[in-house]
Amino acid sequence: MSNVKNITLGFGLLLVYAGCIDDDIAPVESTTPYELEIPLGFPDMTIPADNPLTVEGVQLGRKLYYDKMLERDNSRACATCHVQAHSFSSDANVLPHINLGWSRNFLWNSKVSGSVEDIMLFEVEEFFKTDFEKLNNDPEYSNLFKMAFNVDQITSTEASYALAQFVRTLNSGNSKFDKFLRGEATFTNEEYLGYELFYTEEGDCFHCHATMFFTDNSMHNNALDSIPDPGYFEITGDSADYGKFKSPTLRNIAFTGPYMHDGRFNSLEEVVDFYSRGLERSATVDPLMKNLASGGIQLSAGKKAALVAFLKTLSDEDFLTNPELSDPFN
Amino acid sequence: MKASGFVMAVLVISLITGCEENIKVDTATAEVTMLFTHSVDGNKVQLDNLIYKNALNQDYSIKTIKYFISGVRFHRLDQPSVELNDIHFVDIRDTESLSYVFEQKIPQGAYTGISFVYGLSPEDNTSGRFTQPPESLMEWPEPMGGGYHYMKIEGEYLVNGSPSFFNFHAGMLDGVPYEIHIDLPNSAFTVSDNTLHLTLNMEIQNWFQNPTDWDFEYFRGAIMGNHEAQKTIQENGVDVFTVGISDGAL
Ligand code: HEC
Ligand code: HEC
Ligand SMILES: [Cu+2]
Repeated sequence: MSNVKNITLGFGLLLVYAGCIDDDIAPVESTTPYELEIPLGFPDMTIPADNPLTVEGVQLGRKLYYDKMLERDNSRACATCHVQAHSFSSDANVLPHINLGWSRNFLWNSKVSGSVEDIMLFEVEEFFKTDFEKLNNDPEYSNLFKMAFNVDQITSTEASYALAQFVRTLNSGNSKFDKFLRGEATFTNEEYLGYELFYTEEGDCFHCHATMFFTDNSMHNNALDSIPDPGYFEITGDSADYGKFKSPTLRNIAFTGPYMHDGRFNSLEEVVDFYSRGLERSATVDPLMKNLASGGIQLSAGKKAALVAFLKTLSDEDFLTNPELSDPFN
Repeated sequence: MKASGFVMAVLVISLITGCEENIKVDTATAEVTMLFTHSVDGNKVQLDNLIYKNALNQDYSIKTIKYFISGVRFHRLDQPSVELNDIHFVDIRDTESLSYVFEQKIPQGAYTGISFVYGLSPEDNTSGRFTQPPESLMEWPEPMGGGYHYMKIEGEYLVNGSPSFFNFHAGMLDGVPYEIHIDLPNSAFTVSDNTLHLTLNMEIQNWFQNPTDWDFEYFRGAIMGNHEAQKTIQENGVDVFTVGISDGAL
């Protein structure tokens, strides 16, 4: 036993050592490295050294994602609620799975912080309460996990690692907006007006829906209610966090409705109306919501339509139809 | 067991020599640590408290203070000054950011003063320079010229007794640089130890006065697209900072 440990330790060091020369760390020798395509203009994705993407791992993760067997009573798969055509979201308040490889805070109230592996572990253990007896007794899964992670016994660790690998491939950066930035597409006058509203303090959306990811991945109270839902307070217990929720990404926003943590708005028009005239004061409203006193940014009908038109340029049809991300059982 | 221990030792040694540059030990240098403090009228700022009054007697509070400092330079008599390349981001709510050890050390000896850039000089202020938060979240939108905010101070002010938010955000607007070149007053010192501690204090009240009294009701909450406001901040900012200097242990 101790011998085995030492060998693994030595091997581990060898890998670290190899890491100084180049960054290829492959824990399982027989696996094939997966070439992750990072959308143009996106920063590099930080991938934990102990879970590099492999073709075997990503494929396994995809299968798990679409398999109802993962849930204890076989009733739902991740993909039951996280539907590709809806940017891996669906009705009610389901958060989309898009560019999560760059995220550190997960769920509306940031209940889970850390890596994609951490949130996947949460989903497998706490939400799906996966029965690993079942997976271990399945010869096909036994074989796939052996190939991807060289384990004889499947645990929640390997399942979450595989899911994390697949989720890291759910990357979208080919919307009309991206093409506009790359000089491959032009905005209509209306879209351009919306773009200017979004990115100046007249509309003032960019401070929170920030960077290429259209989220700052941070917690804010965006003035939805005079008596807000607790949100982040449930996690920290700090009254200053009452009513704060994670700014969601706006990529593919046209496909992820209804909107907000409780799905209260059915259309982007309603969302823009809210930011325009519907702000409600409460103790923790973010100081970035600086039109609070007047109820919102007070846009004219034409400007509201322009802002919606801009939000629709964040749609990436390739992502919604990419066969590599689709149900492998079909 | 023994064999694998040996293998490990060899690996560890090669790891060290293979990965790290040889560290030069030079006794005649000092490591520079900077602490960041923030005051209103000389007292440590109390966040989220609507208790302050500016020169125009307008009530305000402070909720957010975020900024970059860069180009810290130590000036010497008859010798070239020493410039540190670091860019440091400060967020008053992130305690770790309130203390910073510069990567480069400075030679021991006598210095005539300290200067720095509050913000980013134009060559450091290019879109895409910062890829990770929190720095990346300081981005300044492309339609306003791109790059990064150099400062975000936020809070509330009272208009006719009711509160409104202000975003005192500054950056290079449409290609016009507004970063602030600061010569710290009373910053001559001699360092004869291998550590130097600097405490940089921001007196928030000074953002709102000298030479121009800041009128919250005139400038209101949103000033990112306002050249007059950006220029006023740049001019008012010159005397916002003071420094405390000690060498050796604090
Ligand atoms: C019954 C529908 C449903 C199923 C099935 C489901 N989810 Fe979710 N998922 C949601 C909802 C709703 C949220 C938002 C909940 C919240 O934040 O409290 C969410 C949020 C998430 C998030 C957070 C995304 C973010 O941006 O923070 C991740 C990751 C996630 N789910 C992964 C999974 C995985 C993996 C599975 C399968 C193991 C799964 N989900 C199965 C409904 C579902
Ligand atoms: C202070 C930060 C902040 C600003 C500024 C801001 N948002 Fe949001 N936005 C949020 C937060 C936080 C949520 C989620 C709130 C919730 O559900 O409780 C959100 C939700 C949304 C949603 C719903 C997303 C979804 O998946 O349900 C849309 C759409 C949206 N914002 C668009 C905008 C637009 C357009 C603007 C500018 C007019 C804007 N936001 C300005 C923080 C902000
Ligand atoms: Cu700003």
